Amino acid sequence: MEGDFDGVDFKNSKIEQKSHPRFTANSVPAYSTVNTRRSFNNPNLSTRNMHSAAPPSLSSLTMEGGHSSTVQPSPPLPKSAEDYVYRTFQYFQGHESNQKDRIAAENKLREILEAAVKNNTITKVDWDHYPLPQDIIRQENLTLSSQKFRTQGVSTNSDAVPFPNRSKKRKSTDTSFTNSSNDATTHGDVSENVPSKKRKSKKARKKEKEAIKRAEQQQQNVDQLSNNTNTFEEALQRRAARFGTGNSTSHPLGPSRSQSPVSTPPKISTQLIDRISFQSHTNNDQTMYQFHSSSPFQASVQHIDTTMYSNSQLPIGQSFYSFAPQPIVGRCMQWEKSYFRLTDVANPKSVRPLPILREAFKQLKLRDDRDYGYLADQYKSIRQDLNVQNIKNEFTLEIYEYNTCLALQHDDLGEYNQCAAQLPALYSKFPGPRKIEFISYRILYLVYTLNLHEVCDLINELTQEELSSWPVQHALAVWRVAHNPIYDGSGNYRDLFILYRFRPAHLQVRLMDMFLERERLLATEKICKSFRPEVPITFLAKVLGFRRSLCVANDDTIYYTPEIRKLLLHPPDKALCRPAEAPPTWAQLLEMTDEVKKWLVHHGAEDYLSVKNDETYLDILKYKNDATKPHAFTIFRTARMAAFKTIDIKGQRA
Amino acid sequence: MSKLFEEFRTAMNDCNGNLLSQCITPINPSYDSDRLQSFYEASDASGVETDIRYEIIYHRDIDLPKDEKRIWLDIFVLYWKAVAVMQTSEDFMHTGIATTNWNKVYVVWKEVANAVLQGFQKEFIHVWAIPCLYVVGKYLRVFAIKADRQFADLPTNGFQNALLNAFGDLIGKHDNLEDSARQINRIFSLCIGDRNSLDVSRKWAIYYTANLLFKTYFKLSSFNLAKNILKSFAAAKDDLPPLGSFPKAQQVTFLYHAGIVYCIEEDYSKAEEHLFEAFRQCHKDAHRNKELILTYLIPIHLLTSHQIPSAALLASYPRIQSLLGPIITAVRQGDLKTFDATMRRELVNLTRLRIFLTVERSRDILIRNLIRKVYLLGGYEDLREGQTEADRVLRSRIPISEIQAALHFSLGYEEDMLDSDEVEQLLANMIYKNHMKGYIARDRGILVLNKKGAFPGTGA
Repeated sequence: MEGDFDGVDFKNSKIEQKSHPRFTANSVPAYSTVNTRRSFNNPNLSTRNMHSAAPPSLSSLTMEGGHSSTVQPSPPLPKSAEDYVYRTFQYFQGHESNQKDRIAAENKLREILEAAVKNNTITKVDWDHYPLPQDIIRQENLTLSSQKFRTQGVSTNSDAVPFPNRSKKRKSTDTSFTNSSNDATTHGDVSENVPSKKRKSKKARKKEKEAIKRAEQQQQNVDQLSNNTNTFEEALQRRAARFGTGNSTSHPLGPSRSQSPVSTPPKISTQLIDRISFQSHTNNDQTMYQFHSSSPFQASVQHIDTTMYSNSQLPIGQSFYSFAPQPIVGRCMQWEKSYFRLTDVANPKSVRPLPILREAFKQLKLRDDRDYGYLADQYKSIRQDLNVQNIKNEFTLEIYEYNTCLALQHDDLGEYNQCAAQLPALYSKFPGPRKIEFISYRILYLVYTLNLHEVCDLINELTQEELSSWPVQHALAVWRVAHNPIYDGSGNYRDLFILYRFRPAHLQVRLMDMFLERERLLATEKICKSFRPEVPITFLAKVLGFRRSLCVANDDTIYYTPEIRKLLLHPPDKALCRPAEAPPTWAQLLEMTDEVKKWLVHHGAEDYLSVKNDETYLDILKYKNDATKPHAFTIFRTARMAAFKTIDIKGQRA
Repeated sequence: MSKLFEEFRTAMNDCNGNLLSQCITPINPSYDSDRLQSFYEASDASGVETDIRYEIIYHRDIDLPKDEKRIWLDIFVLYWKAVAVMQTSEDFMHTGIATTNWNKVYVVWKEVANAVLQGFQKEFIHVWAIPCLYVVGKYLRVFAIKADRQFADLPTNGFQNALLNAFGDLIGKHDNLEDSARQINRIFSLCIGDRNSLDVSRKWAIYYTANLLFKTYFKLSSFNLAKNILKSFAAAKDDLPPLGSFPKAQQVTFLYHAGIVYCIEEDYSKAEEHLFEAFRQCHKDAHRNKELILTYLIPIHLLTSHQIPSAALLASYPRIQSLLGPIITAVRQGDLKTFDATMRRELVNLTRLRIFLTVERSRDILIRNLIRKVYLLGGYEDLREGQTEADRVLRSRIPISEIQAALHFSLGYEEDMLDSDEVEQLLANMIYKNHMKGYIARDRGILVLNKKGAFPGTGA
């Protein structure tokens, strides 16, 4: 698929066109370009809102484009400035940066914006071309480190609006520009090896030289190839056609785009989101193309600066997403991809864009019966692709939810934890219908990992409505009756097993299964301590949750039995109650006792089983007078202690 | 300015740490109500270094090594900058009201803290001056909270509001405070890792900084980090000066926080130990502090010693009375219905204090009281042959149905909602936890209690 980009005609006049708008863009007053772009970017805006989850208030405020001031006279933050802020944060979101950098940039950002508002320049500053705070800071650091400019530290005067220093570095940037589109795909990979943040060392300079040399060579190769292949434009059009968007006929980088871009109204409204995000992605693709192509000429420290300036000279459609080094937009066209742990910046060639990821999800759902190893791997790679492209929308939520459930179904707690950990953040942006279900998983998971106190934090974040929903109620009841080994003897075994038998109809059972065993051991231990002289096995089967036919309840069709009703903090309406369960049938009883027997034998209590009048009993007092043999109580105590010991915070057994 | 440096020189010459820390405290001392303003006005950004240089390096009344002077010069220049930011009001939120930009103050104060920390690290600043560490640490926290609050309480107009709407989740509500926790943690590790002998050790600052850290982590709900502090204390405990040799205020604050950490973990015996000691040491007039300690200590003491507070004690703390009063009464009376209803009602309040489970656990004590009532009401067993009146004991075999009836009554159920399994579960828990001694004879449907001391610790 990626072959489509190979052999683009780089000598074509399109390159001239391509570089052209950059120079014109500089000569045109900045704010007018901003307006043009606004109108173009409206669809993009909503995509962006989806990505960043800006609340509707913001989008309604800004959807008016350049006229935002008429909607609400007081806010002096123009769209372009918002974009600017957004870019600042997005850089850090997609990027594994340290906290210090982020905070520094944030402070810088506040400073810049405050200064701009104070000086009434907020509408005048060309935000699209304005360097990002993190770049300014980097610039400052560089200036500081080179002794000459020591006194010019920008930090000393916050009122002055610092524009990018036109220093030496700029030159090399420019060079990289002229060459930028020449060796795009051939060198995409090289760029990813460039670390983005370190100072330029001798080694780096040497590398840079080598890179230039290499690039020159490859340039020649490309030149030779170029004559017998498609034009760049054609390639893009074919690509667009493949996605079935059917618009974007003009050259994406041509001058026409920067003035009045085409955006046909969507044919089917439900596909709007797909389409919009796709548009932005195609646009973006070009930029990535450029950005990566220029990188062989960038040595470490310039990496980011270069792309920043390069973006500043592109039409906005591109400049919005394309700050380096992340997020990227992929151009892998195959839906199937196995997970590979990245050690470096992702290669867009092997990253699937959103539409392909949707396709992959669709395909994978059809293959639900394949082995878990395959599915887990596939979903992991989808999550990775979403992550490197910084896609956060309802689809992301769906993937994470689905993957969470999948991992649960296969008792893969490692993956479960990875997926579930992302859900709170996603729910804060897209409150999906399944939120309460996943909250209940979270509570049960905390019970399993014995982080009972964290449930308190969780409760304080819930609304009253969420709190009184059935899954959350159920999980909270489990929390209250579960055992905490630090406080000896806590917990109510029978209540817990009632909650196990009568539970929401989702995957709660999977999580409860994980701590069922240890709670069962504890319950047996308690029974062995307090009952004399023996207990029938049928009794154990009844109170230890061995009963097969489980009462599973859905949220809307639930009818509470009295036992369960008592256990809930917010007992449901009387109307929803039904009579207590009928006692188990004879056949059920047989099955249960069989299972209990197996379980007891498994834990080494075979010796303690005795049969009287056709009933099997657990003989608690056996070996009462024999000091060499343990009591039944001791056996279960040891087993219970071991079972509670081996849980660590990630839910992995030690 | 000269007044402040006079104090500084006195402090330096007398090795007076408290006076020295007063010199870099970013609030006015009680005896000099416009010190900060006059300090700020005495110089300007371009001349401040020269001005301070005259006060520290060239002054004849001060006798210090050159390096040490330099450190203090740096600190005071940064301190002046911090004061300058505090004294300047700016309308940075565009509300038309000029206020201090606390975020900026925090950033500059962090530099002050860094400079002081460096001074200690390189051992140019000596141990007698550790109150300076207290001051910088304390105000790191104060300014961070102010900055966070200022950013969160943004007025409802202007671009920052739009900004917060759009990017609030990216910015984070506690960014500054989290950062301050990291800074204070640096101070903490500097102190706890000091290998100098105790008389010149920075270890004398650990309890103060640990308390700052506790407060910060609690505010951030970072329980695990708070637990780590206790772990590092446990690891270093052989080399630490005894807790008793630290100021009372530090002792009490530390014990209180450590007690809460143990309480959250449900290690109630350790929690009680710490909280009880905190309560004992607490100043008799520190009513608010005692109230805080008791909020945790009362439910914990109920669990560990099965004792409830006296009415007089509760009456002097109305807040605790309203929160825990009904529960305590219910426990005493064996009133399950009120207990459950109160737990439901106070769910949010109790989870906010993180004592929901702690209080919930006292339901066991309530049930024990209830069963004991059944036991006491059961009357005496008939005398057997050869026994005298002195041998008379309470009936030790109690039908489970009687206990079931008592529970039913206590729960206030209208219909029959309690089966024997549930009663047996409760009894088994009681016996397992040693709340009562005896066993359940399931086949006969009775609870057999010990003839003597069936309910340990209750006298019956």
